[in-house]
Amino acid sequence: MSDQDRLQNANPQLYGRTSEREVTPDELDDDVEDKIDAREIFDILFWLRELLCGKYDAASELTFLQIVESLTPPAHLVRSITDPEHPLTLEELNVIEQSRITVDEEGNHVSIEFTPTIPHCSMATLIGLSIRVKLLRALPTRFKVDVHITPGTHQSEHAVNKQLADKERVAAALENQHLLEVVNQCLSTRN
Amino acid sequence: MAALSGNVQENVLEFVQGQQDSALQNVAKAVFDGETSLLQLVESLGSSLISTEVTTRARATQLLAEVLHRSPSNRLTEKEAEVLSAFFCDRLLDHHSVQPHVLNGLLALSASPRLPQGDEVKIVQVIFKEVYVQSLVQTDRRAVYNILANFLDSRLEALQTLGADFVWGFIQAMDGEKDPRNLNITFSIARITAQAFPIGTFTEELFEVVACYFPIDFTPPADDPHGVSREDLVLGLRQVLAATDKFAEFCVPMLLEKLSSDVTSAKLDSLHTLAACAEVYGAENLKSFLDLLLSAISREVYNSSHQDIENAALTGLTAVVATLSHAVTETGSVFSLHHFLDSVLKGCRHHLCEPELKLMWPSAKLLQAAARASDPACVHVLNTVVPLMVEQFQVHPLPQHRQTMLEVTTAFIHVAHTFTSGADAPNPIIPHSDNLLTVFYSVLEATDAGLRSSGVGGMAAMMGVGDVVQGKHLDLCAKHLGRLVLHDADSTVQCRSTEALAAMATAHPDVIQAEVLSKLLEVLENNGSNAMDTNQSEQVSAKHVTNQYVLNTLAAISTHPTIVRCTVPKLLNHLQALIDSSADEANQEAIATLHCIHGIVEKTVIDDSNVQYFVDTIVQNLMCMALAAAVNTSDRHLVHDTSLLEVVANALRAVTQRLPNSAENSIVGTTVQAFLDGNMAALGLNTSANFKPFDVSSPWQQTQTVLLLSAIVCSVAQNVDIPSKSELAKKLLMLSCASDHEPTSLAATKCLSGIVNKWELGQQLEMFLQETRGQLEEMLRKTVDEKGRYRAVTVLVWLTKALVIRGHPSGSQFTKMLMALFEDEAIGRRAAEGFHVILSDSSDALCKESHANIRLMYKQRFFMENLPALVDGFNQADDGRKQSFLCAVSHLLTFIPRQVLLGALPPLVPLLVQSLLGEDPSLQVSTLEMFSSLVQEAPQVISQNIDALIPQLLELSKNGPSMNVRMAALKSLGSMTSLPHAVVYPYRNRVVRELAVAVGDKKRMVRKEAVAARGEWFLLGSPGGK
Repeated sequence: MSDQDRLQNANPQLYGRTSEREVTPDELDDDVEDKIDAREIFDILFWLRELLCGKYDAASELTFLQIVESLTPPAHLVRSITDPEHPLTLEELNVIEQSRITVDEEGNHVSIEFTPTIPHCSMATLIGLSIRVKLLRALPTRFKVDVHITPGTHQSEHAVNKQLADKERVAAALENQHLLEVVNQCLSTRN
Repeated sequence: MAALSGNVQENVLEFVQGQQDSALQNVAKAVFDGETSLLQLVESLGSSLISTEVTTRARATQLLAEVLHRSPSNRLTEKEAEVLSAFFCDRLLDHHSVQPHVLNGLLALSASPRLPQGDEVKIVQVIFKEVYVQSLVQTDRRAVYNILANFLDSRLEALQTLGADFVWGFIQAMDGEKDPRNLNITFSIARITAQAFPIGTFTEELFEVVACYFPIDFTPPADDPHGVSREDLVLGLRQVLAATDKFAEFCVPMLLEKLSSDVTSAKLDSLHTLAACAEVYGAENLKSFLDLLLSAISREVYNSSHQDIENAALTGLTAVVATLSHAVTETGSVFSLHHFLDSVLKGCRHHLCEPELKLMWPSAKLLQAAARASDPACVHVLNTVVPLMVEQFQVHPLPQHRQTMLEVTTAFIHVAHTFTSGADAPNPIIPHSDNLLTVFYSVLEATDAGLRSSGVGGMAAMMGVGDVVQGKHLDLCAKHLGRLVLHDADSTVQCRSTEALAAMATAHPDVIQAEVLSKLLEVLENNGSNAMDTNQSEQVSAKHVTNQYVLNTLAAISTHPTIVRCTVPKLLNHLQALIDSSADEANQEAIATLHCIHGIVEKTVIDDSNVQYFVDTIVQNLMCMALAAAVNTSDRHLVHDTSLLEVVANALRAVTQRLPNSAENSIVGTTVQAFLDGNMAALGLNTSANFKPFDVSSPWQQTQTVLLLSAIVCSVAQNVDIPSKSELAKKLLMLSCASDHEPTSLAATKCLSGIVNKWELGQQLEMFLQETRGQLEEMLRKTVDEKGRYRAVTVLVWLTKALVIRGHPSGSQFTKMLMALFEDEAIGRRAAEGFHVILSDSSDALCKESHANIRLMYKQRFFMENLPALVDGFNQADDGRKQSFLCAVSHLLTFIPRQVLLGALPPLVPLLVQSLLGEDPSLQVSTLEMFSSLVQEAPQVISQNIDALIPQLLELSKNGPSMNVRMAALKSLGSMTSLPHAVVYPYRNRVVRELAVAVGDKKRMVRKEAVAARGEWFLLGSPGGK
């Protein structure tokens, strides 16, 4: 049995991709300061490894530990698709949209809403966590980051949001070597 | 028969009794020189060969075999060969320690053309009977295989009389072979056996004995001492499997089984093997496996996790369909082909109706792979797919879905490209062309730009297929495209339309001329000569249609001589009108027009018929235009602009480079005459004005026309004689050293270097070089005038380049002279920058296209000659003066090939790290880029210097003087994570911490690199990371 057979959603719906950000003359000018904007955050997250929501999980209350257990071995759920014409990214699955990212440069605040592909997606917490960790690593420390599920798109929206907002639970989750491994796999840049 | 000479006899004894291997050389030499005959040797060995001592017999046999190997095979007489072969065959029955030497002897005999007919059969028979091959050591097994291979190569027919016995004997011999070196040989024997022998009852055994190696799983040892690669074995085995159709019933199930495994290489190998075997096996043999094959292949394509596997699967499908198609032509039955294609279509059909889902693309790829196989297959697939796509296109209203459908359809049209369209066999796409074109036309007015662009892509694809687009459709296409070019607001649509028009212009120049050209030219005229940015005639065209845009489009579609002859005069007229208007804004447009002319020349000058036309129109016109302006210095004139003149020069150069010899002589003659004597009548210019371009006191408008002289004189072939060369060179030298007008001085310098580069060796050249050197030395030493010294350095640099690239002996003297300037405070840096000029490829006077005299590998030679001196110079120079040496070294390193660089690198790296401390951003960037690439190519060198590098890179990532430096530093840092873990891990926390600054850089592009680099470093040593 190959990996693909274990994927529940083998023929997912695709959305268009945003074209590469064009470089403006201002960006090439050494003396102009470029502000961080939603598109930039979006591009940072574009590099997230392709995640497919696959495993059905009826449990409404998800904990990190449960996810970790459901991810053995992790490589089966986190896979890359290398078709150059149609690499699936979180963007093409409409998980992350630029319009759902807001940046307040002065207030040092970034807020992101993401949309799981199916309401019972068991990977929602993992995706949220990956987004959090990625931005933790990619943004200057002055920013505070909020990650939420788009309202009304997930069964256990509230629970997931609560976990993602809880600093200590996030930190504790990242202490778990197994989970850190999965998150890191999501964050490896494509080569 | 004479006995052996004493000396040889002694050596024989020494070898056999005394176990002295060195004695062999002497014996062999005696036989080789004809001093001793082989039979004499046998005779003298007689007692030893039949000795009761096994070791003695073995030694004696060994000596005989080795001597045989060392003597030329054609020296052997038939008689000798017969005796020896009988002897060896007999000895095979001997003790197991003698046997290897016997086999070695037989190997030597097997290569001999003198071996009597019939003996080969005997030898093979006795080997199969007496030798248990797999109990021998590797070299002896190889000897057996080589004997078989030799005979199969030279005496196949004789061996064929053995029939099935040979097959069985060989199967037994190779069964269980494990050594990759031997397998290489056995695979080729097995291939010949399968093809040339009646394998009949042993088919399955023969198949099993080779197929057990499939798929090849072999990784050669790191230093690869035997030169056997995995690819050799894979290909060898594949050829055996594809040797005969009798293997089909065993091989196809095996391939299917391996395809279901999870190992990438097994899948790949199975698919490649399927592609190689399909044709040999034939439709009949594949028939019963078709359904299984199709489902296996589809699975790989749908679940594609690996690009190579997907491609291999598609190639496999193409091969299968091609095989079925052959059966059609052979037996006249189309049943199985159509049946198979129908099942492919059935599997893919519903996916093609779901453009929003992922599987649409892989389905289309499967069908395209099937269609690509043959003409009938293509017809069958297109007959189903095209109507389906056209129908589905109407069903789906969303532009995004429609675009996907169009792109998929276009891909199918591209498949049809491979098939010719003739009267007897029309291209498979022809029956559908009306429908398809109608669909494409229908989206050209759509509001969605992507959809329009796909429509244009579809039309372009249709036009790419032979004569599919004909008659009214041609005009219609041209009309549509012409309209899009002028009126569509989306840049992708414009661009794709222009490409389509350009392709069309090559095939149907008349249509383009009638439908498009006139409209474009009309716009150019209506826009007026000073409407570069604004556009008064809004009603005819959209905003983007500036003159610049029209010019670019004209240049793009001028691909055919007919069109070129129509556009060039118009462009020249347009240029003249611009010049006459002498408005301020006309300058930019004039330059654009010239760029356009230059572009047309570059693109179409390959066509010889165009060259003379260009000489008569472009060269003639532009030259006169420029010179007439040059002598008229009283008015302000457009053509006085230097950058404009440079474009003129480029256009002239492009024509001159391609001139045939006869024309070159005359044009060079008249040009030189005009410039030296002021005789402009030779160029067809009627003026009494004074033209003295070489006179330093002439106005700069005149002197800068040496640009044009250079374009003509330096672009001709090496054998074209340049009149009054010495005089010309002297005047150019004077002008370059003395002219205050910088473009003039540089142009004269380049022109001079072009002449020197092609100057034939001899007294004249030597004298000129000697005088020049003296003159330059004097200027550099005495002149207090800073600018004068600058100019002298430039001349020196360009002359050095001219000499170095042709490998002239004076080159090194000039280089030394240049390096001696490095410590000069004022001009040292400029001299060092000269290394960049010397090594970079010139685009004008000294480039290959201008027929410059360029010696192979001059860069390497220059590097080898000068690196030691530079490093010495660096070490000895005072602290403040080191910079020039570093700069020169950096330039050297940028230009030499990687292999040379890697050899010379280790001592240089500390030097380079130091150069990062400098203040020149461009130098820093090039050094940093080199570090990035060295991480891949010479990791150990970088690892050794990591302690110095990382702090330096971190510093530059934070405080680099320009964004490019910071980005390059971050890129280098990121690439370093691929170095051995133990080397970089100690730096992880420090790098991650310090890069927190760079992710907050004020420039977005720097932040992007910082995010990437920091991400890599975060992953170091982290679970799930590296």
